Amino acid sequence: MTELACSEDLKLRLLRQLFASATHDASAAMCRWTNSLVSLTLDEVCEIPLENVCGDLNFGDEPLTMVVLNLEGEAGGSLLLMFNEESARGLAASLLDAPVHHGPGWSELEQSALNETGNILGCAYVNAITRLIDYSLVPSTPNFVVDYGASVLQEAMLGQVALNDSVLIGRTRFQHRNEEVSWWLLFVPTVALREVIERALLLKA
Amino acid sequence: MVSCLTEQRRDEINVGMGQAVFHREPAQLTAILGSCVAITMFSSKLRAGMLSHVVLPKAVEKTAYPAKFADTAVPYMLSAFERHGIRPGEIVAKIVGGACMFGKNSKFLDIGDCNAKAAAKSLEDASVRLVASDIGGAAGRRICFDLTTGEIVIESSAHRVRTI
Repeated sequence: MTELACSEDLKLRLLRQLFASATHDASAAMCRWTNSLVSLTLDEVCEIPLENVCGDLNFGDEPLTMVVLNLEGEAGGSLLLMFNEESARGLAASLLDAPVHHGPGWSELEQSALNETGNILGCAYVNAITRLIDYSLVPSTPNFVVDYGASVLQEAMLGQVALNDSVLIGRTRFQHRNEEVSWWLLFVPTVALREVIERALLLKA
Repeated sequence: MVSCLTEQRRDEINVGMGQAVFHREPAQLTAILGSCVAITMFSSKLRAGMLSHVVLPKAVEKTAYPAKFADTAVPYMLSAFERHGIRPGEIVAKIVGGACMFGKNSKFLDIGDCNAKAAAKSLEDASVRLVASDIGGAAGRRICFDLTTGEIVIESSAHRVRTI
């Protein structure tokens, strides 16, 4: 293995540790918010060639329900909380203590419940990263979006694809009432944020 | 009309971000677009088409991914047709995509619009006839480019299925 490959491998391992810590904090916040219905586990941190991103992440062909938080500032990024429609409606109903609404469309209450979920989850995730790298990250207000996962991810990845031909993504999976569900949390840092994180982690390593 | 997007077909080829695929009929080239733009070229003489999944308007340096940028994608596509003896005047082009997915909350100054404009400019500079487009808006698109007819079927979360 070359020196560069070793270094990249070390960086990825450190990033995994960081994202695992952030996922742990986010999981605790979600347990409180959903009254222990939901827990999170870091699935993977990987660098994916641009052309393979959507195939590897496999969002399927149907629109997803998403809550998007942008991280403001020069070194920012995006957090995307994604659900298939059935899962999103189930979570909204649990949170609102109401029967599952089968659409079409989303009521303001449902949107608000999911946005608040994204907000709580995102803030816990981002606060953990901020604490560990000693760099301030401020999440935007949550954006509720129903669209193709790949379409939304394209815009979230712009902070990386302008400079790179591959994309670093941290993906977290969820359990709801101890069962795997079709929810995902994607963390997509810009190149600048990735450099900030890697520098901080290497200094601490 | 039956959308070719409703089920995966054996002759369907997905074109990822920054990729370009040249193929002869019978086949469909598919892509999912947000701020990205698909530039398609079709030759009825050759019964072949090409789709570039463009991510950004302009390359800042030499790139290993010519289809990633609007300004490098068009010459790259034309060279593929030239290898089969097809000149720019025998090709028709279409542009799809270029949405602004987060509207006013976007961090990137309407990159979708920039992509669409750069694609149109690049086609004009290369004297390729742009015969149809479906660009802009705030919704993603799934497209299926039929290499037998040159038609593109477009689905989005905001509109009914349409064909250009």
